Amino acid sequence: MKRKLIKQMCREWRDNIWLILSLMVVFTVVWGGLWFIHAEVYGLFLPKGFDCTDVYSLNVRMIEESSPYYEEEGKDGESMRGDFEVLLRRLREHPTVEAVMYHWGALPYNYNFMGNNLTVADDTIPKYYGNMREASPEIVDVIKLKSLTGSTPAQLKEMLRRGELLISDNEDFEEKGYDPISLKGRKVFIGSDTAKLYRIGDVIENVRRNDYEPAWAGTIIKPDDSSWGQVAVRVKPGMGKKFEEAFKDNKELRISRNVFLTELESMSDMREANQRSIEINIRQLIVLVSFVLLTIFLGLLGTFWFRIQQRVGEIAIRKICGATRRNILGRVLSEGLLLLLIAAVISSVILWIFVIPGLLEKIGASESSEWWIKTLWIELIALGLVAAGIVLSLLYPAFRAMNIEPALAVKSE
Amino acid sequence: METIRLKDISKVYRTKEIETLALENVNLEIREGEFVSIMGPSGCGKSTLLNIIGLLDTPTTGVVSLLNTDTNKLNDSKLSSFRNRNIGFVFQSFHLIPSLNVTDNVALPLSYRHDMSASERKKRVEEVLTRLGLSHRMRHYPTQLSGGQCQRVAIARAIVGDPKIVLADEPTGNLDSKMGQEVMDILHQLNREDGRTIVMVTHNEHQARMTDRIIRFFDGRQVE
Amino acid sequence: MNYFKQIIYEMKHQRMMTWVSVSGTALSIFLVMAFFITDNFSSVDVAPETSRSRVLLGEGVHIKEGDRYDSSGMSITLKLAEKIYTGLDGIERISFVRGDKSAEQLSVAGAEPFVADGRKVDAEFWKIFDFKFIDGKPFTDSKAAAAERAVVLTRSAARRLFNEDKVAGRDIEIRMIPFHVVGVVEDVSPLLDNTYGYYFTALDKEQFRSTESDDAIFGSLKVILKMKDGVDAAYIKEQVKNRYDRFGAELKQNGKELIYHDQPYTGEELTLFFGSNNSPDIKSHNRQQWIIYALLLLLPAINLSSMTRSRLRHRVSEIGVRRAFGAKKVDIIGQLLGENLLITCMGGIIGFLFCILFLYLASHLFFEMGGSFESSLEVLNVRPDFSMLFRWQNFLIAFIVCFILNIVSATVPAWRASRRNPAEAISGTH
Repeated sequence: MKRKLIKQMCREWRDNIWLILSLMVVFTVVWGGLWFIHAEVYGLFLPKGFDCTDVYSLNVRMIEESSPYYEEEGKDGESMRGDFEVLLRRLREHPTVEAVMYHWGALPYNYNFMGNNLTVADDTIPKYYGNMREASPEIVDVIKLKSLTGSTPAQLKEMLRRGELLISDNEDFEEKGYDPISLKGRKVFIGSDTAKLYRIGDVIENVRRNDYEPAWAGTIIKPDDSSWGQVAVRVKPGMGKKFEEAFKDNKELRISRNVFLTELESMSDMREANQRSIEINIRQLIVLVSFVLLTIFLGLLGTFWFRIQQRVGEIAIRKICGATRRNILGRVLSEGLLLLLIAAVISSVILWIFVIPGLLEKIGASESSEWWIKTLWIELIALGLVAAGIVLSLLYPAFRAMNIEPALAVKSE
Repeated sequence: METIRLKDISKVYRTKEIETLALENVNLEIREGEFVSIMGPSGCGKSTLLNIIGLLDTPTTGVVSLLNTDTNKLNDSKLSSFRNRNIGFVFQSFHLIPSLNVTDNVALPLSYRHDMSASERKKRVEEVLTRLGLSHRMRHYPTQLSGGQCQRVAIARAIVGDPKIVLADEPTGNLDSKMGQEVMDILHQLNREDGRTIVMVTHNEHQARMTDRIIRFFDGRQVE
Repeated sequence: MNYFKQIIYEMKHQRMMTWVSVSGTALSIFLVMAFFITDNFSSVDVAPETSRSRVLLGEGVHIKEGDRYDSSGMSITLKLAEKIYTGLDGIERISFVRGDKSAEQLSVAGAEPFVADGRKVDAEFWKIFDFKFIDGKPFTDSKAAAAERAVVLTRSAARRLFNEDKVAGRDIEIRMIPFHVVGVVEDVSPLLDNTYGYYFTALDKEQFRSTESDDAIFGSLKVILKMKDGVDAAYIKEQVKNRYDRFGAELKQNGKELIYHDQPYTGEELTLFFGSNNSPDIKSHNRQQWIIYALLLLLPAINLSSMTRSRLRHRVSEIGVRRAFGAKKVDIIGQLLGENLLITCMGGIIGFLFCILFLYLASHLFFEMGGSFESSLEVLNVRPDFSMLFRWQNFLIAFIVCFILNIVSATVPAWRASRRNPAEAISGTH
């Protein structure tokens, strides 16, 4: 039976070669699309190390001398800081607000990367490399840092108040055979500034830059009192709208003498803006894959439709000779799936020899057996997806074939 | 003067495994205005001969000369326009184009002539259809016609371009005897009134006897 | 005409074929055009940027000092800008603008403020671009305008502040400093890189000159150049490169190396975000685009081609009959390609219209537009105008794409059909 099927397919080789060719393209595109989608989104399922729901960002600005609102007595640095503290206190005391921090570029959803090395002063441990986020100690509450050693938020905050650093897990460091937790309590210096030593307070979950990008270095949280260009506010759950309104209506929350807060933006908006190009990329890939599947759907539907029209007589004779409806359905479907199998084998050979090693090399995973296995899985999923597409597109023509009336068909021949 | 002259025509069909001799050394001359029937059992090569006369197929060896033109020397494009102007075909199963209505089917040969205006074409088609008694069917599609009507449309198509030669391959084979007789009457009329040369392949001894001459074939050879 | 009637008949009687071919083509045109149109937003002329092909942008520089020091900035000092960009041959106008577009709070004397993007521009800026003034007029003397704190608002900024459009002569506050409205212009789409903003204040060169230190390189200015009609951007770039070389030689004495990155940039180059320490790689972008186009065309073409082949198999005897009655091979090929083009065009029109609708409603979800903007959602979620979508060029391209699709998918089957022996074709033996 199968041998006969293949023989018949060989007789229609010209049509079938085109089909195989297009199935090869389809299979490759679906596989590639899925692979890239996976590479973009797998970060979503890893721990982020922060939580930015209900968080707002604000910029701190000064009223300039040329403004009619400028106040002479608030013009020196000290009184400005004082006014800033007033604003912080008003925010903290507002009923909708849970926690307030100040910083400069320390929030996630921001492309800043301040690469810094930490060196343990009295040891030969390799340098710890991480993205430094400088902020006031309340960062612990505002973006919800998580200790890996079980310290409470209050304890983490206390460490920062004492001027200690928090560091995170760090894949690179761990690959060299060192556990960041072993650094807890040790004294380090930052960069090449050996004069100032910092104690590592605790180890936290790595704070990534956004939902998609996996961490590729550690995170260093450094308490910093002097950077107060930006403020971040965590409001109580569900109080976002109320806070926005209060901030608009209540001048007290915005201005104190020459210092004012402005450009209120929710972190969810910042996240959307920041992740936009990644998300657009993913959407484009999804559209491309669906387009390709849909195209093959239409193509197979059309081609097999004609094929069955042409084989009405043949199918009728098969029926007269005792073929069941199930036989006919199976025949049509196995023809399509066999074509896919041939296409998949050819493109797999090409992909695994010429494309995949380069691709894995490019993302730096050619050594990682996990990625090779993942890639194989993605290929199987792609195969399944295309096979499902084929079955779907063949169902209608196949049902038509099943319902051919033998007597009528033979007569019309 | 000969309208059709075949000299030493042979036709061999080759596939990988076998070689079939369809025609062997056929020599044939048909005069202007003659109505000739070709008879013989199935597979004797009579349709092949008709195709070769109609320039639809080329002989393996030999010369086909139509209206004093040596057709071996014509390229495909010249052959096409030669067919268009000088030969009309009538087929056993009509071969009307299902997606065209009667008028458009009949106008088909004229559509490949570039020296004729649309109004001339239309006039010519109407003339022919009226002559064949089909003027009330002009907007119909082939599927809406009876077999006899279809064959009359096909004959109209064959003569619309005013060809000297009409080739008919079992024109009555798909028709009942009454309709068949109708078609034969038309062919005779075309031969008598217009002086067209007609070559007809047939299985019908009775119809063949009504023509000027019968050529019999057996296994690719002319036997009489 | 007959072909037309015939194809309509065939389409009616082969519904599945019609449905599959038309929707397949529509889908393909839809995607190709969506990519094409969005890819070309940077070169569409829309008010106020009505001659984008003639506008170039000079911005940041890239400096290296051995291994120790590698820095680049998006904006430069006035002195450097003048050194590199003034007095070039083939330039009609040159405008100096502040490099970053800053979001500031606007308000009417003490009322609740709102935050909007603004630009600081000189008087030449109004001459390069084609702003439509609803009220008042542009400032013509940058220095005087800066001194009296003149500002030009867009219509929607004026409405937000005053609830009306004609507000020239009134006063507002920007970052709590009083400004005087001298004009109101029509809104500018955020897709327009060089002109988008809600308000425009005056840039006084002298003020910049006095605050810049002598050897500073990174500053806060960018330069907008408008070329004379018919001048090639490559010619300007060549001159700028010479200036770079000369200035680079000066810097070399201090051990610094100035790296040239194909400045000044065309609109097309600016849409590729590449940073000021890289050159725009139009070539690789184009290559990538071509691969996408080829893919989007090839797949439907293969499919349509096998459809066409199947369709023709039903018409073998028709083709034989046509040949018998005098159709030449070219006639057959012409007919089949013509029929096919009709189907492709039908699909094409449907696909194109859907594409326009889709781009109008959802392009912000699928395509990056607007080039090198800072990421504020308001800017990013912008929709293109209908006028940017409904252009005759787009129709032309859509038709060309249909034509290519047709040629690719139908030529081989049509050619093969025309070459069949007519005798065999008529009798239907394969």
